[in-house]
Order: sequence, then C-alpha cells, then structure tokens
Amino acid sequence: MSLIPGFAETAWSAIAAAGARPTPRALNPDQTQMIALIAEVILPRSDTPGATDVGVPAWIDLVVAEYFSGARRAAFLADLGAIDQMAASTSGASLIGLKHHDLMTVMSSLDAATGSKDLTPAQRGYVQLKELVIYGYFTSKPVQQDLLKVVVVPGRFDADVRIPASPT
Amino acid sequence: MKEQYAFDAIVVGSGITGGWAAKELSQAGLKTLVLEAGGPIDPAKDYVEHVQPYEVPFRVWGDRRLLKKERPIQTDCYACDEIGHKFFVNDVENPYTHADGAPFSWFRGRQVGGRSITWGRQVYRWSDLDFEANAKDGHGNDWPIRYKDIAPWYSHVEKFIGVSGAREGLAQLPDGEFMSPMPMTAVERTARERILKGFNGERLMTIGRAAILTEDHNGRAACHYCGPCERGCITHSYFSSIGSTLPAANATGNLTLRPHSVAAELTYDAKRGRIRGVRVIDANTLEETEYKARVVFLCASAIESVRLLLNSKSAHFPQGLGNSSGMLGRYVMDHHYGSGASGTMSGFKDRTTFGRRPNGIYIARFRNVSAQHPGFLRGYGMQGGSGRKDWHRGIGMPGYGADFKKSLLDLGSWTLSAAGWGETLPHADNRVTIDPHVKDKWGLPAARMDVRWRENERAMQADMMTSMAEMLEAAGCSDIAQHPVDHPPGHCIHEMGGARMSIEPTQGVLNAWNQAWDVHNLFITDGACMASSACQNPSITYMALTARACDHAVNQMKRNEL
Repeated sequence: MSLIPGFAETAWSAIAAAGARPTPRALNPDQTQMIALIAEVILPRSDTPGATDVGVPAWIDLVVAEYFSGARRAAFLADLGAIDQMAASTSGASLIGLKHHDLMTVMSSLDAATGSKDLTPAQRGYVQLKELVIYGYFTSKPVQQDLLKVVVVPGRFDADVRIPASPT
Repeated sequence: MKEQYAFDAIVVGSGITGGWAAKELSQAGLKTLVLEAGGPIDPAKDYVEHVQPYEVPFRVWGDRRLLKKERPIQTDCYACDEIGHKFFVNDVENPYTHADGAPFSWFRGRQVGGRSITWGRQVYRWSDLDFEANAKDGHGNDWPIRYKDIAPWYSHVEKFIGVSGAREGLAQLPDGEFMSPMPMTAVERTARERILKGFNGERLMTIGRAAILTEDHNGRAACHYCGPCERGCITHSYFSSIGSTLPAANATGNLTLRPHSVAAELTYDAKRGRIRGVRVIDANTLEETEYKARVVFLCASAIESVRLLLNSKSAHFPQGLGNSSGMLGRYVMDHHYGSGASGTMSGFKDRTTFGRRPNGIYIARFRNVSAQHPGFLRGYGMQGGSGRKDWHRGIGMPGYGADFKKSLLDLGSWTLSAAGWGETLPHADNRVTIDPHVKDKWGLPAARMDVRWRENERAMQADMMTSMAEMLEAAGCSDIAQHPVDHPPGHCIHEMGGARMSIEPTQGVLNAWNQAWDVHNLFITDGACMASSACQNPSITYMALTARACDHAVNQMKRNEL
C-alpha cells in the first residue's frame, strides 16, 4: 500500500474514525485509496459529514463487485487506471501520491468534463465515480435522516410551503 | 383429474377486473371461485412502501445479477426495482416471444391482487369522442356501446374505489364522482393559467385524477403521502383488489379464492354449447383439477386471457375457443408514451412542497377534438408534474468540494415537465398468437407477440414534444428541452385488445356485454375486450365494463338465459 500524502490524511482519518475502512471485494488497495481520496475531494467533511464518514467508498466497492457486470467492472477499473496515468503524466506520481496542488490540478481537469459527451478514459472514469459518490452519499442513512431530514410518513401533502429563498 | 362442481361462477384472475367480478358476482349471491395463478400477499408483511434506500444493499438499484437472471424483462419497468421486484413475475418461469423486429415489453404480476398492487392509479373516463372514433375514421370496428351505456357504471365504480380529482367540465374527458382533488403546486397553478390563456382555453392542465383517497372512504384511510404506491400501501389508500373489492366479496360469504392456480384451459361442452369449467394446474403440486361453474369470467389480463382461449382448442373450436370470427388475438394495442418536454420555471425560490404527492398533472387531449390535425388521427393526453431539483442534479453538474456539497443540500430550481400518452390505431396485424415451441413452467404454450408502432403513432410522438415545448414556453419556462422516447409496445402496461367487442359476431369475439359471441356463458372483461385504445389510462374503463357485464350475467342467470 502506498504511503498517504498529507492531503489525504483527512480522508483516511475520516475513514478510520467512521470505522468504515473497507474490506475491498472488487478493488485492490490502491484503487480503494484512490476512490476514497476522490470521494472525499468531491464531498469532503466540513460542518457536515464527508463521503468517507458515511461509508461511500465501501458502498462503491459493493457496487463495483456485485452490481456492475464483469465487462462494466473491467472497463471502470481500466478507466480508474487512466486517471492514475494522467496523474503520472502531470506530476510523475500516481493519484494517491500527489501533492495537494497537483491533485487539485488533476481534479479540475477531470471535473471540467462533467456533462460533456466527448470524454477521455480518465474523464469517463471520473464521471462514473462522481455519480457513485453523489448517489452513495445522499442515499446514506445519516444524510437522508440528519441532513435531508426525509420524513418517511409525512401524513399530509402541502403543495405550497413558504421557505426562505434558496440561493440556487 | 379431480372435478369440483360447487360454484355458480368462476373468475380467472384476482387483479383489477377479477376483483370487481368477484365483488359484483358474490354480492349478487353467486357462489364465486376466484382462480389466481400466483401466491397470496400479506400486506402487513409483503408491502414495502416505507423501506428506505439505505435499508437495501444497492440503494434501490437492485441486485443486478439476481434480477437479470430471474427478471431480465420485468426490470425494464420502473417499479421492478430492488424494493418492489417481488410483485413482478419470474421471466424464466413465464416466457413469451415476439416476432423479429417487433420487440414487446410484457410486465406482469402474478399474485393475489395482480397488477392492482403496482398500477399507476390514474383514472380517466372515456367520452363519445373515443367510442365513436373507429366508426368515424374507419380504423378498427365500431364499438357496440357509447358513453351513455357505460357512464352509470363509471359512477358505480368511482363511488366504491374512491377517486380524487377536479371537475373541469370537459366534453372529451367527462368528470366523475370525485372526492377532493390533490392540490397543484404554485408552479403548476401558474402554468395552468398561462397555458389556458396562451391557447385560448383549448389546452387545460388539471390535477391527475387518481384512485388515491384524499378522504377516509369505505374503511380505508386517506393517503399519508409517503410516495411510492407501486410498492404497496398498508393503509389501502390507493385502490387495489386486495384492499377493496376482494374483502367486499369475501364479506358476502360467497367467495372462494384459490391462489397458486394456473388456468390451463377452458373446457367446452360441445353438446350444450357452453363452457363447462376451467382446468387448473396447481402451481406448486402440479395436480390438475377441473372446476365447473355456470358462468366463467376471464379477468387474467388482455394477453393472458387471449392466450388461454388460444390454448383452449377443441374439435368445435380448432383455432381457439370463441374464435369463429378469426378475430381472436388481433387488434392488440398499447399506449405509445413518454415523448414530451421539460423546462425550468424561474422564480418561486421561496416555495416548496411537503410530503410526496403520488400523483401529477394531466393535460386533457386537445388534438382532433374539434379541428382535424393534418399529421395524424386521434390524440393524446399528457402527464407530468413539477418539483424543485434536489441533490440528483449534482451528478451531471461540474463542481466538487465543500461548497459544492452545501449547494446540493439546498433546493434547486423548479422544473416542469410532461409527456404524452397516445392512442394507438387498431390494426389487424398487431397480434398475439401462440408460440409453436416455447412453453411456460407449467407446460402451457407461450404467447408470441407481433405488435408494431406505425406511421400514425410516430407522427403523434413528434407532436407530443413540440406541443409540450409550446406549452412550457407559454407557461414562462426557460431551458426547454424536448425528449423523444421510443419504448416498445407493451411498455406502457396498457396492453389491450385481442378479443374485441363488436356489433356483429363476424367482426369480433365479444358482444356489447363482454359476452363471447360463440359461447354465452363466457365473459371477458379485462383489457382484451377493447376495440380501440383511446388515450386515457384504461383501468377504470375495464372496471366499469366488468361491473356492467356482471350485472348483465346475473340478470341473464335470473331469467335462466345462461
């Protein structure tokens, strides 16, 4: 397993704190670290839990292992490899070995492709991963219950509730 | 084979129409046997509407390997997901085939309650615009009935099942016996007014008319707005046969419900020219029993009922029971649906909703109501809704980091969208036949589908998109996008026809009372009876026709005519 650079310490401490260190089934240790790192950059711990706090990397491992078909799994893992190659060509290290500044350069380049149809293999891997991270985070129990405050049995439907105007 | 004589009536199927036949016949005093191919359901144990995404491993996406193995076709239906797939058949046990180049989606539920557990709950009356359509443009045959014949039966059904909706006074979409409507959102109310104004009152957006209670009714509680009705409802707030008609039938003491009973054949008594009964295979033990009765109601769903008749061959009916006209299996229809448009409604940032309304908005048919459209015959209604974007929008959006996460916890802009549900022209070559090779788990020959969309449907789909885009523009939306959707026939789960009603015995399988022309003690009251499809969601019409046919059968039995 690679040494963890400074930036990713937050991510890994979050995994450890949450007791969510995955026992990977589809992912090797490097891939597991890489997914955890990208997940925590996309949805980091702030005043609300981050992706690793709510077990997103372990859930992604389950999805890749059991939900993806063999062909899709192979393609996805190959695309993750392309992200590493991109990191190496940018900064001479695999993604999990990048310094913070270099990692952000790679992330920015990958994320710029969101919504585009013409993707490089690395961007394709990132876009799929981002979907899994967002879906896994927002469907997790802590986020559904504590942040989104989903009421399972509302008991009524109010069609027009006044709230403070949202910024977006 | 064992024989059982004890019944006045046999109903094949326990879903939307089977439940109604059971209720009406048993309440009229007939000893009624309901045969259901699938197993029983215990709502307290089997209903799963309150299961949350994080309570299942794949967060609703499903165990792909299991679902693809057992339900490769059914999973193409939105409701056949990780939580609700139990209400859909096993495709390996229940095969069907289709002609080359004519894919067909057949989504089925085999359990007590049938598809009344998973149905879409939208209920719209037909009008004479629909009943006269075949006669006017010459596609298909004329219906032997008109609105006045079915109107009282619509009322009879609506009063029992409970329908929420708004009275609008439209000739092409008659009002019914409505309880209070579910409310429209602020965006929907605004859009309604702007669209009415923009199209001189011709295009009307109303709240969906739904068989979902907004008030306590017949011992069932009003909706609690949890959202996913297709996974069941422990309070029976939407209409299902399990929660409404079957309990009413059971209360008479005249009902016998036999689950795990696969109807293999209708047996024919050639001497007396009558159906003798139903040969049933026990789904578990494979034991065969012939149940006999004075009258048989087929309510197994359109394709299953036609398949059963085609598989019930005898010396007298070598081409299938009740098929002297040669029309059995022809004129199969579905609704072609899904093409439409969506847009963003600016403003309303200080408005949201609470609760999950299991219902949307409906735009009544406006094409070919008065003026003839140059591009196509018949018409379509549109179904959709509005809501604020939620965290899902992050998936296709650039961004990452703490601010990105925070923004996704806030509500996004309002979207408004709708898609068309279109009438399909009846066509003799849109058929269900019997596959010469494939059999189901119980050895019964499988259905083979050959149903295709044709020019009229294609032209209508294009118009669904442009007309919806026009309405969104009139409503004041921006970022308007048109969505072409091309599902195979059957995908709408409004499959119908195959044993159509007709004025003359040579033109169809059933008379004006859903009674087989060839065999008078046989009634078919599911979707197979339909001579045209209109564009409305069809279940309420099947229910009304079932109740009407039961009344006719009971009267004939009282007069000893059956």
